[in-house]
Amino acid sequence: MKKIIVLVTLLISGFAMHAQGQEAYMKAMGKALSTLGSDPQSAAGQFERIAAKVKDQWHPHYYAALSYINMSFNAADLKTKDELTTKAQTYIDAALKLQPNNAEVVALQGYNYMAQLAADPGSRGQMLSPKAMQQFGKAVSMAPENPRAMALMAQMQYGTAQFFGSPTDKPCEMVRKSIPIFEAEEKGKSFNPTWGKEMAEGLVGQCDK
Amino acid sequence: MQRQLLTLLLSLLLPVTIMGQTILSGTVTDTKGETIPGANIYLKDTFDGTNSKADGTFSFETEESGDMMLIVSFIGYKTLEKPVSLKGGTLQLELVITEEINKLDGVTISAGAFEASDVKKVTVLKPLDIVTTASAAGDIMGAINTLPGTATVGESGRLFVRGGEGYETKVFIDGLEVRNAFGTTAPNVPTRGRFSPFLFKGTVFSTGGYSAEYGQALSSALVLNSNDIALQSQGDISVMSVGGDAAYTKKWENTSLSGKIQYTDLRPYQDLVTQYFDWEQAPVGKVGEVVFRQKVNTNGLLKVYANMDLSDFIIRQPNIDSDGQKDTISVGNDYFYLNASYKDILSKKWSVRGGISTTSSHDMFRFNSDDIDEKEKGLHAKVAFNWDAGEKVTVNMGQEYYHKNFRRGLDLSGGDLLRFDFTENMTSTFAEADYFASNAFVLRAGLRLEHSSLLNRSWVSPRLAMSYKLDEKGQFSLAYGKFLQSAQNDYALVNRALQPEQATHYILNYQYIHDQRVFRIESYLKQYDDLVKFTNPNDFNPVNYSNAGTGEAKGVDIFWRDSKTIKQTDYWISYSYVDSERDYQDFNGQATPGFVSKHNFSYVVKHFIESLRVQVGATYNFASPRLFHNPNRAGFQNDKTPEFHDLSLNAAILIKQNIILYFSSSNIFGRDNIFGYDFASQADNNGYYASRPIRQGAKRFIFAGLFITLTKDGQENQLDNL
Repeated sequence: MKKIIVLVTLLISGFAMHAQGQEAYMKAMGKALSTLGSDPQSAAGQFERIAAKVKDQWHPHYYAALSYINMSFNAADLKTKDELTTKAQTYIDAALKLQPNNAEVVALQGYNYMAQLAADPGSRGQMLSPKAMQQFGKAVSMAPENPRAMALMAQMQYGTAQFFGSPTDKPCEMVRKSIPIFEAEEKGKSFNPTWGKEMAEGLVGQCDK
Repeated sequence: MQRQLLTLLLSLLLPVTIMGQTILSGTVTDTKGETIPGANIYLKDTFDGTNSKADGTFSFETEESGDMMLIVSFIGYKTLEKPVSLKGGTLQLELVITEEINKLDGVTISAGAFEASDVKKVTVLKPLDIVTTASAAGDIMGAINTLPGTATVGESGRLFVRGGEGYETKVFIDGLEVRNAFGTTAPNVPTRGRFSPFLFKGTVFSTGGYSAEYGQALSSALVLNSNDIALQSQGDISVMSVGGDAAYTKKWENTSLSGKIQYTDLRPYQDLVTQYFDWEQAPVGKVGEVVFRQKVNTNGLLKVYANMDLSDFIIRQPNIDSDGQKDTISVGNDYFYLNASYKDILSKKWSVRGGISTTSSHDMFRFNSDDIDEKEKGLHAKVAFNWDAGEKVTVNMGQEYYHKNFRRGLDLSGGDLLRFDFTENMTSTFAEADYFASNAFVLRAGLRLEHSSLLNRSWVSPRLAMSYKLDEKGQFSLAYGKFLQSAQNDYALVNRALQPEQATHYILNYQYIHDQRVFRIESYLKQYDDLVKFTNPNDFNPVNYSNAGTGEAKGVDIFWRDSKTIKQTDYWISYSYVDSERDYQDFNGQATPGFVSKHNFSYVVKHFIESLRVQVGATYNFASPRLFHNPNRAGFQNDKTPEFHDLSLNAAILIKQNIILYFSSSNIFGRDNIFGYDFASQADNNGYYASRPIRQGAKRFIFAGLFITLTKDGQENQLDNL
């Protein structure tokens, strides 16, 4: 009997600890996600801390990378931009290792190439734009209804089409298609990404001009 | 029973909840006392932590207790792990983090090296520059020739670096040697590099003081790094005024294979445009290329490149010794090059590179009715290891094997059939260590050991370089090294005991890179020893050939590039001053050789007109007069050519994303540049040596090409698939 008690106790306490850990993880992620838009530096730090502890979840790695990518777009100089995208890449690598066939992560890889490109388009455009497009294409073929993959791909396409003076119908059509999908995404239900609607709407705005 | 359980459970959970909170606060600074904002401070294996604020301070609470590990991490700094004891209350911490030694993007050896390279590094040149330089006409060597340290030698087309001859520059692809990197040609008919600039993702052009990894080059190493695995399947078609090519690339998950055939024929062009040269048959070339890439594992990449190039032409050159009668020179060349290399990361600290290259070049010359047949075969095998020996030390070491066989057959009208040949095997070992004393100072020391089977002798060549970074923008660099190169085939054939020629380089460099502007100034001294010397080039008596030649070159190279000041405009200026004298070959004392011009100047500008999607470019090249020997005057190397001026223009029009129309023209103003003079070997009745200028092949060279890329699953069509 005693043995059983001890066993049950251990099981329950183990479960309790786990639940407590799970709760802490949920809480930490929730807090970090709430700062993602307003303070990417702080968000990056939080996701980094979570990723360091919870190594088997792709979400913290994904968001740490996303925070660094977003920071790189706003960074002042090329050196800082490159430091940030390099840092982002380490988290993308980790996320890809956990989820090699996750369209979100693949699209994020493309987004990081886009950030590197944006830092010095003159000399990197030729090399990185096909690389970014390749990732977006891969993401779209994995998950044809992923609005981020669609919007990012449309963004790249739109820029290229505009540069070459060719019609922008196709990227515009694609980004418009992504809007209702963005709207259907339920926020706060899981840690799955829901960002990107503003970017898509911005592009739709350009298309409507 | 239930109560027991509850008590147990509670007692398990209690320690966590009862002990109360600890507040950790303090400042993060670097070793210089500067505060670090944005550092990540947290307790290992918990979610508790924060980022330091703008003033470097931080504060956070934790409900953890006992002995824990505090982690401080920040980009560019070593991660700090500090044990802390949490007992409630406030824990005040002064955290000092140390800058990480950045071996890749920190201080680099810049003396002698011009790098056009991948995305990450701050470089002087970009890979694309090679294709878009007006005077280059798609030739890698043409673009390199706008950099300081090079000289314009219009009748040659080769790279002449810092008072060195064309043969003193050696070309490597993925670390493996390329023999005969330039097409075979006739005297005073300029040649081009064989390899398309689109094959390469990066280029390092070294004008001296290069790494112990590279040998058998007295003056310069041009290291070309080929593209990795192709990104997509595509077809490419080019239609050019001088021919055309077609290529197809197939991409699989971890493999890509490309094939290309190219046909160039200058006959229609030269029928259309007046030539100074008297061509019986303008150059015709057939090139076939295969590029294979296989990703073997996460980091292992196998590269195979094969190039077959068959070319020929016939030219008539007036013979000054036979009263205006022309010699007919026909030149045929069958060339085959194969390069296979592999690189992989073995462990965290070790990586390996290795490969093998073979060159086979068969020249068939016919001079009137005399035939000369030359075959050169070369093989180069290399295996090298990079060892990340410690936080501050990296070591690069390797072993190489070179094989060369050269044979020449002479079938002279009315003479005997003559055959000569020689074989040389060389082994070499190199080791080089980089010591990063800090992020501002790096020291490189290397040794290269070479052994020749032909001479049964060994040599040790030391190399030394260092760089000191003054600040984020500027750095000084020094380099020293001894360099060897086996005697040229022409001479080794006559006297197999000839020793390698030697050069010693001393280089001082200052480089400033900031915000899309680059300034470089470099001064150097190069001493030549053991240069091949003979009394008469037509004398084939081995005893008259020796290594008694010496020489010296000293000068200053200046480079300025600015992509910032004028929007959408990028320009660079190169200036080289060289003072060079040597006593070699059949010279009768120290003199400046004919290929040296004291001042060389290049101005390259590129401007992108966004609304038209047109990139226009211009290159102006200037070279001061070159010396030549005029037998009608007293002395040696006693006369001067006129100055060299050339303004070249180009335009690339992006018609669509996948269609480019390209135009270029050299020598817009049609200046008749004179590179030197040929003199009669005998004086006429008045004691006067007749002469003939060595000129350009034509007033100018105009090129037009249409380049089309076709992608099956490319960007345009990817949208259709949705």
